[in-house]
Amino acid sequence: MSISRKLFFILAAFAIVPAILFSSWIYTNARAALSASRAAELNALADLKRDQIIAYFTERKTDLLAATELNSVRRSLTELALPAADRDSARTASALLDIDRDLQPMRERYRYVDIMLTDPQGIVVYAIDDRLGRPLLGQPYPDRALLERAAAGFALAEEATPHGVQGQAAVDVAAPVRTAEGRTIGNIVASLDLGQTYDLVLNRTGLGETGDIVIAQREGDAARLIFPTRFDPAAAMSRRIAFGNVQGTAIQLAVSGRDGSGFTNDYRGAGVVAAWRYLPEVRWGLVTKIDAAEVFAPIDRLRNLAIAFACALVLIGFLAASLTARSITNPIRVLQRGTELIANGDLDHDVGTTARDEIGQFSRAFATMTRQLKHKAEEQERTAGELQRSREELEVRVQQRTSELRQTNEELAAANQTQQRTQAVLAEQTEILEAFFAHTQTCVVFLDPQFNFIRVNQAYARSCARNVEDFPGRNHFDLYPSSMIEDFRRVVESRRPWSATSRLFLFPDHPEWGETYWDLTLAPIVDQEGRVDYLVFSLNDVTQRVRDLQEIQRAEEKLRAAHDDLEVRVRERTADLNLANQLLKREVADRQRAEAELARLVRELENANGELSDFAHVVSHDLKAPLRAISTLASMLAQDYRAQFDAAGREQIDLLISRVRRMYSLVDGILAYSRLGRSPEERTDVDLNEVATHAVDLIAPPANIEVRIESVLPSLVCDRTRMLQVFQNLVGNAIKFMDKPQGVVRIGNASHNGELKLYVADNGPGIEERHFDRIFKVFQTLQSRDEFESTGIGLAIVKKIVEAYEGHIWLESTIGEGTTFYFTLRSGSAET
Amino acid sequence: MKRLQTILLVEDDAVDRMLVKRALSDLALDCQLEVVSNGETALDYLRAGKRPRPDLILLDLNMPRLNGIEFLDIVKHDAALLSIPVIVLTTSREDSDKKASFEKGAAGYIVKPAEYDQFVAAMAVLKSYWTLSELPS
Repeated sequence: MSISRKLFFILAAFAIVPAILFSSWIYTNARAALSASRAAELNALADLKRDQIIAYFTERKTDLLAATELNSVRRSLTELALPAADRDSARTASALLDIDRDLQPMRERYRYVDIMLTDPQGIVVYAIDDRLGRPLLGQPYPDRALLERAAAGFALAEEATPHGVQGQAAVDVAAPVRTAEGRTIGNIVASLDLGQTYDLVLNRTGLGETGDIVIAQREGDAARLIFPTRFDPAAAMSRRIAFGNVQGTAIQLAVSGRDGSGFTNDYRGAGVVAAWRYLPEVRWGLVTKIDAAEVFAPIDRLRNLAIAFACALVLIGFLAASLTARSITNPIRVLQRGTELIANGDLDHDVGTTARDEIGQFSRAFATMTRQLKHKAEEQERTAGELQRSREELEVRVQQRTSELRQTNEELAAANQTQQRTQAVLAEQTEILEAFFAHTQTCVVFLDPQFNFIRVNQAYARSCARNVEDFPGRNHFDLYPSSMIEDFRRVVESRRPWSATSRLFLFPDHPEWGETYWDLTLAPIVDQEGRVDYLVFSLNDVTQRVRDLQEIQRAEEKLRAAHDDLEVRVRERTADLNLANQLLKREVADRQRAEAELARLVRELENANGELSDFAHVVSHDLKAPLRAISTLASMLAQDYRAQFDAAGREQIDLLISRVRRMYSLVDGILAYSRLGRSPEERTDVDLNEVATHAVDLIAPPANIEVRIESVLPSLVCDRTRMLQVFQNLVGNAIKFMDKPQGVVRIGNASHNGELKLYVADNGPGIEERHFDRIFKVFQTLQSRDEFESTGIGLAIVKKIVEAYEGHIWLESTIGEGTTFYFTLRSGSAET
Repeated sequence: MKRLQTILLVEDDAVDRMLVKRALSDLALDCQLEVVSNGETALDYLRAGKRPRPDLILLDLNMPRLNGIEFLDIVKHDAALLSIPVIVLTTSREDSDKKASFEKGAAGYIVKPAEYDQFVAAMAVLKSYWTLSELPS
């Protein structure tokens, strides 16, 4: 929020708004007070007017009542009331004159419109006014109700009517005329001009410019104004305000019988402060009122002034705030702009002002700072300039030096390179030598001319069973005294190397090593003056070599001895071997003869087998035809002549048929068996899983027997039909002989170690061990064919097929629990 | 479709002849059955043009002198006779025999089982054969 707005809000909150609020409060209070005081005045005035009116009417009543007591009135009325026939004209005239004498002055004095006399029946017998009363002579007085009420002593007409002078309002009053004795002889009726009352009303003292007195009488459900008003001169006896009208509430209340005062609206709809009264004696409503505008005029003027003042105040406040704010923000903005300029580099810009306030002080301080910055900047520039000059001088000198240096550098670089090359070569050589020194198996020792160790290599340290660090500084012959010292001394003297081979040495500190042998070389390193600087002592442990040589010598001797011995024995053996050779040759000849014999027997056997197989095939084939015929004929006999047979006959026929069928299946079995040897095989790569599954499908096991292939079966190069037969027969048997309600037949692979082995297992009745061999024989059954029809061929066929593949078939069984048939097939070609 | 009217049965075994006759009657195949007992007699019968010409030939394979396969071969090479369908009746289940028969032109191959009822069931195929005169051209 900007400063000016802040200031304005502060001003508004703490000065303007309270002021306005206070003024409003005062205004409201003043207004109320004014209203109240005026209302009080009006009340007083209303009461006064009411009293005046009532007094007036009371006077008239008194007058009228006095009039009723007049002798003239009594006498006249008595006379005039007589019927016309009885009336004496002279007396009547005199009566009339009497009345005139009394009543006419009364009429004038009190401004009665008319004074009339009526007889007890209400007929008008006397009247003064020519227009009003005289026409009524001899006729009944119109307002009978008035006369009736008058009987009580005095009555005022219910309503004023405009029968007064010039159409003004007038009201009739009546009183009975009685004799001294109290007998009513008639009435006196006077029409009272209300003009006098109006004069009272007309007195508008204390009612200001707009105040007025309104008087109305009730006419049904409306109020009719009796007198003219200030603002409606024609209202008299004409203007009517119906009850319920929103205008003229005060007069409505007044004629309704209520007294009161307050702020309301008058008959013309203007807001007024009014007091209203009911005059029960005349049944009028009286209202004193002043326009609210006039009442509140002074206070309203004040209010308008106050509002104007407040607006002015707000405006001034706003202006003051703006100006004050501006007096603050302007210098700040100037300062800000100045700072920006300075920040952009214009250090000459002076933001100082002469203002005495805090901003001015700040601006001056800031200006001072700027000046100082400027000084500093100028100094820097000067310094920078000097620096620049020095640098330039320096540059020149530097360039001179640089070229000198470059020359020197080049020379140095060349020298450096040479040196580096030399060093590299040196380093390389050192590396090689160090590597050699460390890794060679030869023990190498550096000694000084006094035979102290300077350095030894790892090989030497190892062979002495010490560490490399143990040697430097010590003397060789202190450590290892020996006669070699003489040879060493000779080397130093002669400056010529010395070597020895297979020199025996016993380690004084390791006697357990025993005799050790060494090849040694001592070489001097001689400097330019011919002095021996170092001695290089190299040793090779040749203990093993020496020992080996010794061994060899010993062995050679033994060998010579053995050699001689051997010669003798060799000669003996040769003789034996010759003999054995001859015997062997004879045996081989025999064997060959036996093999030939075997081959011949095999051929004979094959032929015999073939013939037998053919024979079996032919026989079974040819046997089948007549068998079939017998079977057919027997069936037809049984069918056609069944009725003619007795029970025994039918039984015989049935047995006949069953035996024939049995024979048929036995022959079929032989045929199948014999075909195994005859028919050509087709060897293909067969997947045994597929064959086993096919076999099970062909058999179609019953619902209570589950046949499953438990493991993955291998593939095999074989005849698919034969394999199918194997599975068909084994599984078929398992199903055929199943004795359990829930049968399980499992086919699986038990191959291992390259041998192809499969199994078919069931949970059938099991087979006794003593039958294990029999069941594979042709036509062998374990139960009589009468109990269980079975050819007895199935397993024989399986065995034949399996053995044709150079396999074996065997079984394991537990009585009551089940049987497992295992069979192997030619292992060589199996792929597991 | 007209039923078969004449069937020529070439069968040497008396029992088998009886079997076929019985089967045909059990099947209610109302037709005339001509019977010859060997291949040569059958050829004479056919070539002589004896009326009525058979609508179908039932041929036993295993016969003396001219055996079934040879007979079939001759018939199927004879222009006048090759249109007659030949159904082979035999005891042999051998695939080689079946293959040979069909190669020679047999129209069908019925194996004579041991059970009579099975034989009847196999023979029921005859019911579906057209007569020669009804063959679609």
